[in-house]
Amino acid sequence: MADYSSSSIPVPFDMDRPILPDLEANRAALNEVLNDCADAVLHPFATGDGRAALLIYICGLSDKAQLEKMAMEPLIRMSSEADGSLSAIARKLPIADLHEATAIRELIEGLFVGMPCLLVDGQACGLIMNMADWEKRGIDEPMAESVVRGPREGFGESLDVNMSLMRRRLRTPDFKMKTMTVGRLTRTRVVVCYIQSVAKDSLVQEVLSRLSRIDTDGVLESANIEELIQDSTLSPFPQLLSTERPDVCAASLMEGKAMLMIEGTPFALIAPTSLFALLQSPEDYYQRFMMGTVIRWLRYTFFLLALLFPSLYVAILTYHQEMVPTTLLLSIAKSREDIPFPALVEALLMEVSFEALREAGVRLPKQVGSAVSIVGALVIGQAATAAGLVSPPMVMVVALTGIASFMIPHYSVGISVRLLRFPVMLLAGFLGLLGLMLGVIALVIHLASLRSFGEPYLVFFRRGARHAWKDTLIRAPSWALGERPATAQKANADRQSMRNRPTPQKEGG
Amino acid sequence: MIEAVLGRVAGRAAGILFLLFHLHIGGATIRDYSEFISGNFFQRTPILVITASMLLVCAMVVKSGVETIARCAQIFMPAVLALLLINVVLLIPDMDITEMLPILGNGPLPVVKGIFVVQGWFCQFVLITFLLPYVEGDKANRAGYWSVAAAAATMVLINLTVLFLFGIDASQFYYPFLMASRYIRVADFIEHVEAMVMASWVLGTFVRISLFLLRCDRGSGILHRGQSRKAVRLSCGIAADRVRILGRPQHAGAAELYLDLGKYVYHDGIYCLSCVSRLDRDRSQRDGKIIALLLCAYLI
Repeated sequence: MADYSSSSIPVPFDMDRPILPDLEANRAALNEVLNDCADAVLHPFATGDGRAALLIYICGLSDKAQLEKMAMEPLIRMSSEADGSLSAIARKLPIADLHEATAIRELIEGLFVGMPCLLVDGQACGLIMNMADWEKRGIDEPMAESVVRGPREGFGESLDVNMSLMRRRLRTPDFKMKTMTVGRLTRTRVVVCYIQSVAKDSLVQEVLSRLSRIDTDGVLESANIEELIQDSTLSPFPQLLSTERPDVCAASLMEGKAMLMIEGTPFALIAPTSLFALLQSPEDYYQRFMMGTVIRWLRYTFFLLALLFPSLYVAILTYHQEMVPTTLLLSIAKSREDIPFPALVEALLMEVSFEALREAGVRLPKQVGSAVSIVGALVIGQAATAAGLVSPPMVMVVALTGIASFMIPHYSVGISVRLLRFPVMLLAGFLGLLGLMLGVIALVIHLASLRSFGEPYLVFFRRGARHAWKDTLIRAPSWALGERPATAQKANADRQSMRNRPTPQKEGG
Repeated sequence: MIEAVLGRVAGRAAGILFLLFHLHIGGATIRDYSEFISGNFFQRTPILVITASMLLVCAMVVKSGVETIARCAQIFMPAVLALLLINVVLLIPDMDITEMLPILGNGPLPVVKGIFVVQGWFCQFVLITFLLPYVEGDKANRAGYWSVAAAAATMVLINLTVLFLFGIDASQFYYPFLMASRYIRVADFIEHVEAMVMASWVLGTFVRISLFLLRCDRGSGILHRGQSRKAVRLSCGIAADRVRILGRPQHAGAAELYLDLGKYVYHDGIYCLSCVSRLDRDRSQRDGKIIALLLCAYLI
């Protein structure tokens, strides 16, 4: 098998060819590689001491004005008495980040990440200058994860900006970022971040080894990577947490998790994760702990509701009518009198059209989106009942389920819950509450056997993590969250001093 | 283990006996469960559907191993407990504590007799022995005592609830706690909560049956010297399903049981043979063939 990680650019050219002292030969070689690359510029000029030089850069990836001022100008003004070797030149250029390259490969790879290269006649190496600068979107508020109170910065598409966002939150050399390149054609930069003294070494190694196993054409979004490094490939549940919030990432890193940032997407991946982490919102920690706890429980309840409410309705109306209080049963029966379908069909009909409506609303341009929701609300609510297709209670069930599924803070889990609703609904239609129970059992079995980077997925209480309940069952006050979760190194389990709880100072003490 | 104590042949025989015993209890549990569900909730559903669906999820969890069972139990135990406690609490208004009197009215003998019935449930704790190798350190001892105590406490609680509610009539019902739950009516909103009882039955039985199946599965795996167990798992399930039939009046017992156990042994025999002869190098292919064989045998 070919080792693509080292010979990744599929061009019929020997990339490991060294840079020769003969500038013309180098130029010919580069012309061959960069043939038909309209954005590559090979600019020949003469240095102050009369030697031929060549500046190579990619339009739009580097700051041209800086390049002219910092690299070309000093060279052209160079006096002929000065030491002409490339390393001597490098010392005199007012550029903060430059290094020498001896092979064409280094040069080319640098070129495409925005590092212009300088070749001088008679020198068997090139000078690579980091002047990467391109047009990028500014730092925006994260679209998919908004908070009322909390930082409003979100990741952008530019990896360097994202790295700086993280570094600004973790100003310690303990916070490590390792770069890798993934994708035969896209050559996407992927950064593995972790805190050395907190994250388990085995986790970091595992992440790195899984990443290095990837051999694919392209990585355009973190989802491409997620699918290639997750534990269970055939699970409806996301096994990595994706987020565009730097604060969420920093918090996870301090719990000993590892994080992946991918060039070109604002979504970072956090591994390992658990179902409970996916059901948490950063705002749980930014508001008072009682509210956080209550909201968390509300979310858990509605998570179950989003999964089970239509099935429960179908099961009870089809098999267990005696459970409904008599008056309610009568009113439901009255409203269902003209409905031609059994409850299961009714539920499926409504849920499917609701999902279609949601998808249409997401996909359409914003201006049309509102029209869709108005029409959809009319179709699902008013018209369907008026036409006698569905009963009003069913509309309510669907609406509540919809709200419940929107309460799940991470979209990826919301999607899996929406998907799983349908098989459970069918089971409830066939076996009533028993079917529903069996569906839940099967789901729990799956969740219980699921692992995310070796850590159990369904974890709120386990050996070695006796304090996990403080951050899953409730949101304990900050001063009580003294221990890191089991994802962190055992040796560094203390998150903070145990005396953080504010207490009045004793007089004279 | 047993082989080390009793010697090869006797040990193996004892092991098989022990396994068959577990198979029997597992079958009885499934039968209890199926009859409870089909008798009280799904009268018109074929009992096979109820049994098979439960065995299916149990086989699923046995496939994932002991850790998954433990995690499932961890999730379900609070749910079962909560359901039972809610039931008991909601029944408090209807309870009459004087039903308990007279205490020891006929001397201690009836109580001692009663103990023997309850032993039937407690003897299932013998399953713990087989979990011991999976437990680190000496925590198993404490956990074992705790779980026996908890089971005893739950039983006392439920039996007292039923006694306080029905008094002497409690003995008239097959499923007194279910009957009790039918009494519940709170605020014209919560009534007929027998579905809660069903839920706790389903969850509890699931954990129990999976443990029995796991036991049989791993046990026969050991007897087969650690061979792949997909086929064994299925044959365990099927055999347990057949054992379930035992004790139904119309089947009049033993003959059917031994026939079925014969089948189980026979299936395993086939499996052993195929393992020994190694005709099929590919394990999954072999498993597939055996499963087909088993299904044929089951249909007979």
